[in-house]
Amino acid sequence: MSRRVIEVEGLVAEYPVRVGFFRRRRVRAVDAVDLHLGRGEILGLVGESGCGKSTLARVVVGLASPSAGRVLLDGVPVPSRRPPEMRRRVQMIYQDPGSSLNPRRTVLQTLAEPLRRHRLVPAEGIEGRALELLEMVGLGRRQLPALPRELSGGQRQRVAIARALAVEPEVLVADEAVAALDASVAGAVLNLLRDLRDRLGLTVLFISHDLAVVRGLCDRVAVMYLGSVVEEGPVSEVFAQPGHPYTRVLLDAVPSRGRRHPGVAVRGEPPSPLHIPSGCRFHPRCPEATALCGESNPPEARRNAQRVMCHFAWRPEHAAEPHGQVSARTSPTRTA
Amino acid sequence: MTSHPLLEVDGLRVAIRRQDTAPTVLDGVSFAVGASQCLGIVGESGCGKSLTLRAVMGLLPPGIERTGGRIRLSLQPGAAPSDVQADQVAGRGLAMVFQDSHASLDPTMRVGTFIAETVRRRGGTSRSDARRRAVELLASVGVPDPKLRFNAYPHELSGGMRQRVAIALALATDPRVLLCDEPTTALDVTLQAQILRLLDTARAERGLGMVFVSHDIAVIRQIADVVAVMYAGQIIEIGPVSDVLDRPRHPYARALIDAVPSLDGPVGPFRSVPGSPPAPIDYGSACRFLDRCGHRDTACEGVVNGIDGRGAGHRSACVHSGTLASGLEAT
Repeated sequence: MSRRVIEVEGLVAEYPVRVGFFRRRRVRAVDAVDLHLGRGEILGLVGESGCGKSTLARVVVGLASPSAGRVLLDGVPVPSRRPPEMRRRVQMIYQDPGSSLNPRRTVLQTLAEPLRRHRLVPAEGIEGRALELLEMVGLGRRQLPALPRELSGGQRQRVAIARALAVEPEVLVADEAVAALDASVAGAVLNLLRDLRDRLGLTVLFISHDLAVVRGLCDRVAVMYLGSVVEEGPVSEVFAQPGHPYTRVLLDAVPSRGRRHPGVAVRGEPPSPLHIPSGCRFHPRCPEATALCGESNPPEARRNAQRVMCHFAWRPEHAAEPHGQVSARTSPTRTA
Repeated sequence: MTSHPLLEVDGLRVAIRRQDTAPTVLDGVSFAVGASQCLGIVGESGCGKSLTLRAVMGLLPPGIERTGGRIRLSLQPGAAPSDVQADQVAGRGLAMVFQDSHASLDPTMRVGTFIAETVRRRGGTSRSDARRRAVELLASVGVPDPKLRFNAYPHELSGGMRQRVAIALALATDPRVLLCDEPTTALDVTLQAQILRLLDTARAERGLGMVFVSHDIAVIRQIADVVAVMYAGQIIEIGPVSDVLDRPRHPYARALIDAVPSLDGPVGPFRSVPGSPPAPIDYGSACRFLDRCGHRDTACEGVVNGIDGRGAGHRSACVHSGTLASGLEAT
């Protein structure tokens, strides 16, 4: 098995929020998450807005510090104030390259900044290296003097990726990196990410709400709900045999070729992390919840490399009222 | 008796007003929508799909003007559509739902009051009846505790709930045609499924005509009966959803549909459409997809017009669509 570049252990991230005029509380955006990324692996992180996936990304990159738990880089715990060398190794790309690039800087200036800051190449070599980086992402000399507004959305995102690559990171955290792009352009950027992984051995944490994209790009996927990872495993297994009812609900909600009309929709909306339900967090919306789900925390169920936090993992027929489509779509296989 | 369309748009032209030039961004867009029918419009950003809705609704941003075309609306059940002015259509049979629900709600007003006022603006409703109607509307779009939510301000609601309220608001004027501009794009898939179902129900129950604009082909497949593909300000292909999405005839439509990753297809490299669409200033009379197309030849450099979307059947603007149709299917 590939060596683990990034490990996340029992990670908790909290934010202070005002709940009244004078009252403040801490809201837990990420609650006891364990994850790992092997070298050259692309891990997809999916879940609804507010589930904590972006907070988790910020902690991994070092933009936010954990309230508890730790992040390990190559087995070495990362201190809360990350030294520059560690920061260099994990880089981030954002959803909207329109706002993550400085509108008044040319592409060359944008790429030169990290090269200079981290003293990676001598001053006279900067332009050459910037060009190399641009070529790596499928652009060329023509774009060097361009301003972001002169580039298309796809080209801007390529520049953002080139900037992240400038410091020769080992891990790239992509937070909804193609969500703002049209499908006609997104495909090329996704292929680029995969190609960079193949050529540079880059490890990618790919955060997305688009399950079809995750299926096509990632090796493994982790599904988050209200701050915890409810299911994790190889993409092929999770998508073919989802073990958690929430994963099934997410997959069913995606409009697909085969289904003309939307499948059974999940009840309600994700609750606020200020009011986390007892027992299994998903039980108030779960089509298969029983009394047990509201009372005790779900155990971890494993099958091969797949991990599921559910009392009834892979066993929708064991639940109180199996709901037609949700359980019918997946063929449940009983574990011994 | 032939059933009349509810909304008919004929040769809609919209231009950007500049000091020296006036590039045309919508170039003769025509379509029609009947009762209980949903026309989907897909295309890349900048192709003019949202602009089409705004032009029909009379909500063009400053600096952009309608320079031609007619909008006809059937204002009474069974009546043939008659000409309406762009600035009169709002509240007279047309309503719109936006991507950003903040845009349709007043942040300083309780949502119930806002809906009740919209009901009253049509006239003939007492204050208390309008309130009752507002609560009914909130209940009909699946807002839990509608009496309680009546008093909520938009910022107190979640995104999905706000979009439901925006739909209730749109339905408050009893529109005959609902224009939807990417109403689910800002929502998570689970909420998207809920909102799509809600719109589908409203359409069936009220016999609403619907124009649904989205960049998401999977969503269009689910909600629309007829789909129009737009490119560079023109409709380049139109037809029944399954025909267009499964057997596209225009090379652009084919490329766009192929670029969408799916949950059930084979896993492989992602596809994309190389290049980018021309800027409106460069729109010529030739095929606008020319530079990005693998099937171009001299015929493409002649005059290639967009399609009149009012007719029936599956049609493509591509000069080669006859010869290409079978070849495209094989790719």
